[in-house]
Amino acid sequence: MGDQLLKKAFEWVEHSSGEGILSGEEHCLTRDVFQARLDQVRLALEGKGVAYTSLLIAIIGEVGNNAYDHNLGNWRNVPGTYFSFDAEKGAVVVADRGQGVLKTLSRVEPALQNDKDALQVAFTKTVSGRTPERRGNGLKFVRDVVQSQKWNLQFYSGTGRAMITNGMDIEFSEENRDIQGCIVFLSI
Amino acid sequence: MTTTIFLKKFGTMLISRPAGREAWLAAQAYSLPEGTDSVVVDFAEVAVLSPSWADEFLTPLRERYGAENVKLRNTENPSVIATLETLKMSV
Repeated sequence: MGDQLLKKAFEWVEHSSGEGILSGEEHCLTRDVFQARLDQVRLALEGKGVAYTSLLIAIIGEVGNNAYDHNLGNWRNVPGTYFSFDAEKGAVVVADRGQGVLKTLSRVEPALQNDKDALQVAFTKTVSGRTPERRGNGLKFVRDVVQSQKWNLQFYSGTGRAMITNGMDIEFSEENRDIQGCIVFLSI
Repeated sequence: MTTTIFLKKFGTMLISRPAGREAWLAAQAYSLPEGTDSVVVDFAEVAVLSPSWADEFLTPLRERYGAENVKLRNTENPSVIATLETLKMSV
């Protein structure tokens, strides 16, 4: 099922119009909807006494809110995120059809050449496409939590991929597929 | 005068920048009376905190009163600890 979340995220982001793929429960058109659904996940996990709930919700919140922060007024077509959580498999996906990391960061880091380098900057430097606002800690926070908890992360944007496996060092690579937006897949 | 701000009054899931910015604006208007020269920020009963929210609230708070005059209390929640580490804010 965890793999199904990732497969659906690729299907949605790579689809030409993005329409007719997600259910109403999966598509968070606005930030308010995303946060309400995230709160439902939190309450469900807290109800089960899951110890890592606060950290998991915090990092999902960071990546989900990033999508709205950086794409407001600039969605490719369908706005919002695909957000789904599989409690049984401990897998989460958050995806958007937005600008992607390279385009976002190119405003402040014009020397960036490719998606892989953009992801490396996003996960390792305190820099944000929304300068001069104070920003740029979110993905460092995500990386630190995933590593400290020994979780798994796959982050796709453009042809770049950032990956953490079992909390090991983050690795960056170039992929064959070109993701117009971002796909974040987390498994615990 | 020391003023204590209970963050749970702004919500228990404090994760987005817009919400953090709104909380800071509201705090300036209603939670930080004139004469305040030091602040205690109480995290009791906060379920989730992220760097985005905290950066919009705690960073300007520390800039306004001075980091040495802003004390953080009840920070045991794991997401609070991780967020403060990310923002390099000590308790």
